[in-house]
Amino acid sequence: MNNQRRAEQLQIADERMRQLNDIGWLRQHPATDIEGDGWVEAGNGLQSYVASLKQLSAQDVSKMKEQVRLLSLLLPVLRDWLVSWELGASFEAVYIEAQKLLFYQIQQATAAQASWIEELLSDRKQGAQAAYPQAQLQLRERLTEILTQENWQAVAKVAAQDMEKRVLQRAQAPIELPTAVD
Amino acid sequence: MQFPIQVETGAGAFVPGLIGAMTSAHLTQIETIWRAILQVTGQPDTDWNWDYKLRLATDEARFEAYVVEVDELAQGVMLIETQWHRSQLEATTRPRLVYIEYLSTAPWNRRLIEDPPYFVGVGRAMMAFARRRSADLGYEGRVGLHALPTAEGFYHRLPMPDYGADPDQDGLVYFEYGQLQR
Repeated sequence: MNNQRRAEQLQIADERMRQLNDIGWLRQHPATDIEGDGWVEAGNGLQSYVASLKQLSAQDVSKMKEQVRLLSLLLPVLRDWLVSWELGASFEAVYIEAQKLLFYQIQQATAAQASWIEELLSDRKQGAQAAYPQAQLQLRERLTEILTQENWQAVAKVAAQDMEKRVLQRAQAPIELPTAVD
Repeated sequence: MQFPIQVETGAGAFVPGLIGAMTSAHLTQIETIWRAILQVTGQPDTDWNWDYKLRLATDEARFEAYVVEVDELAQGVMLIETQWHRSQLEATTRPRLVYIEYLSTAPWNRRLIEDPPYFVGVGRAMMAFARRRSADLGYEGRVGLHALPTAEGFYHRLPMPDYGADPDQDGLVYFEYGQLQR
C-alpha cells in the first residue's frame, strides 16, 4: 500500500476517533442505538464469562454497581495521592497493590464503613459535592479509614521489594562497553 | 497510542475516558474486580483465564491489548492479533487484517436484570479503535472477529458485514470490516 493511501485511511480512522470525543456528535448518534443492552462480546473463549454474567441476581448487580461507583470516586484520589509520594519507578507496583487491597476492603466493609459509603454515594447521586480540593481531601480521608494499618504495611513491603528487585537487576546487568571505532 | 473519548452513563451524562494500551494496573483490575463476579455466581475458577489471554500481549509481539478507562477503572478490554489472520472476504488477495481475539466490556456495562448499563459506548469505541490500529498497520481498516450470540445484534447495527456461522469456531458468526471508506 502506498503512503498516500495509508495517510488517507489514517485520516478517516482519526476522524472517527475524534467523533467519539465530541459530545454533540455522540448525542446525534447515541451509543444505545447500536449497543442495545450492552452485550458486545467477541471471541470464542468468552462463552463461559458471558454465561456467568447471566446468572447474576438483581442484588448482585446492585452491589456490583455500588462498588464500581465507589471505586470511581476513590481510585483517582488514590492515584493522585500516591503520585505525590514521589515513588519513582516503584509507583506502578505500589498502585497495583493499593488498588487491590482497596477493592478487598470495600467488599468486606464494616457496618460503620458501609454507612458512610452509602452516605457518600447518595450525596454524589444528588450532586452534593464539596469544591475541589476540599472534595479530594474528604475522599483521601475516606481512604485512610478504609485501608488498614496492615494494608499500608503490605503496600510498603511491595514498594521495598520492587525497589530491591530494580537495584539488583541494574547491578547484575552486564555492562556494555562502547565499541572502538578505527 | 491513546485517544480521549467521552463515555455515556446509563443516566445520559457524558464523562471523559481514554482508550489506549492495557497496563499491569488494568490487568490487576480485570483479575480482581471483574473476576469478583464469578465468585458471587459460584462459577468454577477454571473458567477464568483472562490473565493468560491478556498476558499474550506482553509476551508476544503479534498480540496487543487495549482498554477503555474511565476514572482509573478499566471499562472494557480488547485483545487483538496483528500478524497471522487474513481477510476471508477478499478470497483472492487475502490481505492481512486485525483479528479481535477477545472484546468485552466490564460486567456492569450491560443491561442485567432491569438495571441499565453503567456506561454505554465502550464497545463502539473499541471497534473504532481496532479500525484505527488496522489503518496504522497498513491493513486499511480491515478487522475480523467471531461474535458471541448475545452480541450479534451489536455487530449488525455497527454495521459490520456478517459472513455467517464458522464451523471452526463452534458456529460463532464471523464478521469482517473491509477497507475504510468515507
